[in-house]
Amino acid sequence: MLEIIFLVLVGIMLAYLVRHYVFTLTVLKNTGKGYTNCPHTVTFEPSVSILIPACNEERVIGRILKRMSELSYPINKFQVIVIDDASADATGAIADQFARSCSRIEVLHRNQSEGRRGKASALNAGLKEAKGEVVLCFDADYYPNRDIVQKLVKEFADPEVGAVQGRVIVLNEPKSLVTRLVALERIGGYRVDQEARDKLGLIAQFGGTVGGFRRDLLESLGAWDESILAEDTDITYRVYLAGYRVRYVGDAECYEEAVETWRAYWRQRYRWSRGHMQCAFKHSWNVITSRKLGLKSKIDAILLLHVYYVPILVLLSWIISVPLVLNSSPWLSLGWSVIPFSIYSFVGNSAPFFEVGTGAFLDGRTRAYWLISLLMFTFLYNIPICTKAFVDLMLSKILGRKTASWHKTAHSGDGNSYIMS
Amino acid sequence: MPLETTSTMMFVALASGLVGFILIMFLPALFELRNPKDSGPRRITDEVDGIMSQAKMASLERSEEIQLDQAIIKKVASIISILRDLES
Repeated sequence: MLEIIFLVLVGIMLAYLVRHYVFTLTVLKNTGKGYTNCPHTVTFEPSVSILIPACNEERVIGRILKRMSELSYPINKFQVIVIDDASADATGAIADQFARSCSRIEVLHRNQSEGRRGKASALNAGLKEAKGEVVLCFDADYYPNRDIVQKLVKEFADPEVGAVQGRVIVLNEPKSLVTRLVALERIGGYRVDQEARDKLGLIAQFGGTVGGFRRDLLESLGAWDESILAEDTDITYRVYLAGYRVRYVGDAECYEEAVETWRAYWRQRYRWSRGHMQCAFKHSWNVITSRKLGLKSKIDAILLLHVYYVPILVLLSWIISVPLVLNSSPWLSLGWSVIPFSIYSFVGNSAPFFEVGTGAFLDGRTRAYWLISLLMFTFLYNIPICTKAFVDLMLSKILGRKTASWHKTAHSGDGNSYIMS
Repeated sequence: MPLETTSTMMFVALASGLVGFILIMFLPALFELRNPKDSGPRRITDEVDGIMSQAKMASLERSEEIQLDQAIIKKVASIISILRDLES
């Protein structure tokens, strides 16, 4: 029995390994072919509403609002809506100051009884004020390039595109070891993983920021689900299940402030894991039975939905392998099988490291990938994070507890110094 | 060879291999952390100054390329003229 479970686990991890290698090879094969999917002769400039939810972001909100006033998109075609989500600091006051000097910027203040219910709730409040045909979202700590709106919205010229996602680059990368490792993860995740999924026609994901939707589609889907911690993953799947697709636009670049400490990393990844697992429960059956997704997309959608279970499965395989080895299981007595299983089990799924290395290479970061071996520690750190997220989620479902409260990532504003230099 | 000696040697070999493997894996990371030489994150160069300096660099490189091309053409022309003289 244990042997069968072990083999199933290895089979699952093998599926992820193959997936990551296919992505790496796809990106390498398509290097230099450019990002734009929309012909250059097409000019598509719909009206745009930009939502910026902000809760206690006084250190960073000024930076993004200044950038919003510098965007090169036609002035009369976009509005910026800052959702001050019951901030206790000067976020609201700073936003009001910018709104007074720039007519494109509006501020929606939420009080204590309305606010602090999570990002999805804030976005839904902002959506009610949105007038544009396209709704884009940016987190308060982000810093986009000036023409990011054009680059993102032109993809909506394709009627099949329901949502778009740009590329996120870590601004405060040199700050600490955590920021450097997060930056590597981002390079692998966007430069290779997202790009490959888009090129292969699989499930490119809306990451919650630096992206957006057709407003009418978003409203018809019921906007963001406030009970899900990973509202971005949830809306991504609802877009695909409605028959649309998410387009990844690699040259629509935006800086972000990454978490700077291991504690902040834990909180953020816990929220992502638990939210993602919620989406797995919500959407797995819908994906399998959907008539709007092809077989390839269904397989990728299922693998993506369950990606945060991988660290737990790796831990399980390590635990199971111990009695198998000690009891001299007949399966493992075949000497040739022990070595590859052991190596594979030790490093878990090594394929993501190839994605990171390839992404760093394509970005010209010849020294950044010297740190790739340290990603093993972030992988090991993710094991207790994902395990706790899973246990907490199961307990909440069994005991009927409400969804975990939203713990937003605190931003130091130290990224400002990197922009000035 | 006695079994105990063989086992000890195997253990030493495995331990050495493991230590060597760990060193190879993590030594580049240690070098980079001690003496960071990474160029840092990609820069969003849409500021005017950044674009102008990049344009200047591009035109400088192009003029250098043109000078190099001219030098090569002159050399090839001189070689062709010598060959023509040899033929005659």
